[in-house]
Amino acid sequence: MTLGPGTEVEAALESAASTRRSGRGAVRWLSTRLAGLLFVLWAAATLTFFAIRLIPGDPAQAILGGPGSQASAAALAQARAEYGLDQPLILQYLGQLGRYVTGDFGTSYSLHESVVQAIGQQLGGTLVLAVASLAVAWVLALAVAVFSVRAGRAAWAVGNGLEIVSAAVPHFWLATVLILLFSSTLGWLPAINVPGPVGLVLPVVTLAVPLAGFLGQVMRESLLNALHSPFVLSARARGESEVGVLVRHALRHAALPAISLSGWAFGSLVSGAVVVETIFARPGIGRTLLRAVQERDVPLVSGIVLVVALAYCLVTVASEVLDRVADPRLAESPR
Amino acid sequence: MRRAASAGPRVALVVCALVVLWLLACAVAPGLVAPGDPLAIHPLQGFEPPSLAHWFGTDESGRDVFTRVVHGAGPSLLIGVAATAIGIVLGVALGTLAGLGPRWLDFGTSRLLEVLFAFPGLLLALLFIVIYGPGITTSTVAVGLATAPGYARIVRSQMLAVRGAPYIEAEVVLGRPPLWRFRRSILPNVAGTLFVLVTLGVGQSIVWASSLSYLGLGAKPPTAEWGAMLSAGRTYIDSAWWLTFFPGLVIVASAAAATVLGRTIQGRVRGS
Amino acid sequence: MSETTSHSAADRASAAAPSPALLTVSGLSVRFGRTAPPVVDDVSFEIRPGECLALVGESGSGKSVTARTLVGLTGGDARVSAESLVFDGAPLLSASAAAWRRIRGARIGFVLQDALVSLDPLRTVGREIDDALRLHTRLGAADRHRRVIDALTDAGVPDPALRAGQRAGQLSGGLRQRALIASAVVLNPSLVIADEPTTALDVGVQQQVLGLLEKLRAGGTGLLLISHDLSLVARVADRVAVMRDGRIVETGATEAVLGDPQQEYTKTLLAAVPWSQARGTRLTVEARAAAETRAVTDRDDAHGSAALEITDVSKAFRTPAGTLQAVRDVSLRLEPGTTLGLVGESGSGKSTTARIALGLLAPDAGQVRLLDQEWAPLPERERRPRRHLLGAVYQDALSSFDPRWSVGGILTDALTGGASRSIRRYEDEVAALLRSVGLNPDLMRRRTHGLSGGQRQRVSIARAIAPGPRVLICDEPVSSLDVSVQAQVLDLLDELQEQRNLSYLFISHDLGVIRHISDRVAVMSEGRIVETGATETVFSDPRHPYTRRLLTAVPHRRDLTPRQS
Repeated sequence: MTLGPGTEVEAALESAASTRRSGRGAVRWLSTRLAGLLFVLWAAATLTFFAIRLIPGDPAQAILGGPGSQASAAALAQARAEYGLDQPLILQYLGQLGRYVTGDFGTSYSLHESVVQAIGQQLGGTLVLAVASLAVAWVLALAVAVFSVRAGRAAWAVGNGLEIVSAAVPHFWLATVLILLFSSTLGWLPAINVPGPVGLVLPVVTLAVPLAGFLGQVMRESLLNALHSPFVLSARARGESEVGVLVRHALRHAALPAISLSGWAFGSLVSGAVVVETIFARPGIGRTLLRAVQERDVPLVSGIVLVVALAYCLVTVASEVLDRVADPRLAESPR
Repeated sequence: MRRAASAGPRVALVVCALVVLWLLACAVAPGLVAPGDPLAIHPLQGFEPPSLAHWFGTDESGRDVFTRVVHGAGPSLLIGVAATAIGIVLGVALGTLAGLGPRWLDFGTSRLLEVLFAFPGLLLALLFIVIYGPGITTSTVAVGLATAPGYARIVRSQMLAVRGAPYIEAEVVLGRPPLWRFRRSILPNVAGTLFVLVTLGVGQSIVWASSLSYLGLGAKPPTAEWGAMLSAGRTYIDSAWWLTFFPGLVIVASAAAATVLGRTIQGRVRGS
Repeated sequence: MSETTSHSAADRASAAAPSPALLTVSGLSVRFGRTAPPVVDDVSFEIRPGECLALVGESGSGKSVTARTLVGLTGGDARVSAESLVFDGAPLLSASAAAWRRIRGARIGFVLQDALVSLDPLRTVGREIDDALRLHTRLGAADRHRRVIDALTDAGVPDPALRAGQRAGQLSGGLRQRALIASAVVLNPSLVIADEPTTALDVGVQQQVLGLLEKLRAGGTGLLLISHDLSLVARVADRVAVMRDGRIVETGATEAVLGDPQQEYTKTLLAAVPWSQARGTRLTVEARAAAETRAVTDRDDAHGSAALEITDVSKAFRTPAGTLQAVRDVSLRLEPGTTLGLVGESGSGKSTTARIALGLLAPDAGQVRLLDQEWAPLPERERRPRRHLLGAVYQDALSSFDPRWSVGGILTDALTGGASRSIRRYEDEVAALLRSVGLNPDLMRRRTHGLSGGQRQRVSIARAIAPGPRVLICDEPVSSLDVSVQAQVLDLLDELQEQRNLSYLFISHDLGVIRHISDRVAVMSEGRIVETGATETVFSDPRHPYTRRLLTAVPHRRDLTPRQS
């Protein structure tokens, strides 16, 4: 799933900037950030809890798949007992929080196993997909940015092409075209899940290309800015070669906003994984989520949503740590 | 450096304008563009590949895909526009509260947005769909909700930037009251950005909504809606590629046109 | 260009310097694009070892492009041509990219202004200096490190080992500028090109950087100094070349060109420098012809009521690093119809004082009275009805205009108190207002971003006087203007003061400007007023050590008299 550049990306950069402004010691910074992370997790759990209570009708029925499901009276009674639905709302809420803290996310009625177990089985595949796509996207974006630095028509065309690819090409269509081309017509690559790296190629390309479009655009802009900045002129006046200017100065500046966007990129990859895993029939958290949504499997959906929120927070903090390594200015106190 | 790119944008702009006009024509008067009935079944003409008679081929029931694409423009664009409207209205409300309100309100709203950001894109939409069940209305609202935090962030930062701008301070010195500044200066200056957001947002919302339909959570077949057509064609991807290719192509074209137009407007807004 | 040379001086210079030229430039032209007019047009000069040539001119005169061309960094679409361009006996024009890289940094050093952006903000200054050594020598890491420390020591950077491990953003303005120079001269280049090396610096720091350049020159390095600042040039350069619109209009020994200029343009430039002109004189030649020198009335009649009175005002800001006391117990009194100059270096609290006086910032303690009535602290609601009595002129005029409005819209808005923005109904009033600030009424339909810096500042002044104020607060109103434009704006302010009996609180870091425009002066340092008094008294007999230090760092007319050398 892709988003228009300049809206989501700008928003993500803006959000990154707001949490990154603090210029304090590393320990204090990290503890503040971790406290913030806990707050976000708590708020996410709360939001999920009350959102699910918004489902019209009997909550026990809702938990077991909504009004359409033919849940037995015994199952309903079990759900009521498990979730304490006869207790006041506040006790239910506290009980739910307590269960989350102990790692109990309830039982998925559609998979007939505990949510934690279900997620545990699926998480690996999605992580491999996401990490591989992120890596490929970074490489592509960097290549595009460096190429488009050659000013003029080519750079303009590259820039516009990127805008359009990243903003307008939905994952499902890109996947369809890739399958048609490489699988159905050329027969080079398998369309549906095959274990091993070969089966990973098309899903990774599908996820990486739009993401590379976003990242490439951001990198391209900051790379151009860096190359036109006085410190690059100084470096050239020092006798630095064009390659040296790129490697020692400009690329580092170009990477900064892309690092800041990592949290957002991870989120968009998870969103994309829902579509891509479904199309390529890969096991993973995205496909599981979709099935849970279709079956209205409330415990599974809320479990996955919370796990993704947790992962998002962790990736965000990790990207901030990386940011502080790449840009030491962030770690120093403002003068 | 930018001089070299004088001919390129104009061609792209003309193409985009044509695409938008064509889409609008399809939405307003689909019968004029494609006179056939989008729901008419011809069981004997199923799965015909693209030809002169059927530009985009036919589907499993022999319905003409081109006619369906044309007639699908109305609902698809409407979904996109409605979702954008919901997202923008919510985003502007939250962003204005945070950007112009007192500090505690900004703090609260910003934390809320931070939490919402932890549900990346589709996740928020899916959560909403679980609560209210799949369907056109829910998926439209879901897309609107899912995009709102992003808009709110941008609106907030724009409001803050304009509010702190030296020309607003100059107006304070000239003795203009707060409401005057908001009406005559802050709002008009943020409006340019909003306009860009809306243009870019419509393209984005169409893509989002069609993705939900594709996953079977939005409009349901046999509605002539692009996402629903894609969802129905998914089953036949190996035998009848045109069922998914062409509706997808139209989605790409409309989203691309919206993006290019939005960017052009943005260039004007920023350039002036 | 030889016909515009001051002959006697040039002859003397060439007779006294038998050494061959280090750099010979003749007939240098640069244009961007095929059809555009040349940015540098037929420029010729030469520099000998141990000699300093200054290229002076206003913005857009082509001096920076000339400097960049001499290190082969003019830019991608630039077209460079020259009759000859010879450095150290070798032609530069035909040099390959690799040959250029061997010259840059090793044999020609290049120093830009503002080291904060001219040094890579992500890398330590030590590594930046090290780059030059790594690129041009085969020294090992340890040897290079020793050279880096030596270079910083030579540049007068204390604690060089510590500083080498810090980034530009962690150093003060003076230290980082010296580190930048160290990175350009670490390999002892025979020619150093310095493009506005002191422009962003406070006067005290300027002094240190100039001393460093002077030391290099004394060591036999050729120096090409690019500057808009005539007073700076007067102190450092052996010879001066004045540039305008890409051409050198006058060149010769410094004392000849600045002491006895032959060309009209040079005379205009010199006359426009406010240091030399007493209060009441006009800076522009035309204005001076028109207006009689204004008698400076004795304004020690402090018994009347003040136009603006600031009493014991303090203001502190909370920052992550602690509390910053920006303004402490500041008291100022602005007499009606006069100008009070508030002078100090950056960070001294001038602008905070201005913002408090404008009622934009509530003081922690103390109060402000406007025309003998309470002004601050006061709720904004109660201040608003009297806002028309107090106007403001800002340093950056452009950003003080709503970008969507035309000039006419801005002025109509100011004239009608925000009631209207339609030019049509108030066309005559707006035209009169534009004429009163010396602008063509045709400008009213233009957008502000299309105006020149001087025009923008005039519009900003027109807006400030439109509601009929009694007091104007001018915060660095001429600081970002070229010297000739600066002169026009200062003249305009003088004129308006006479016509409308305005009182100015005039804030500037530029002592020359302050001396020219003020009746009384207040010197600010670290949030306090350290000295106040009549302008001439303060300038001729400064009491406070800080004022004395400030004044010694500032160029005077006497700098233009021939140096003892």
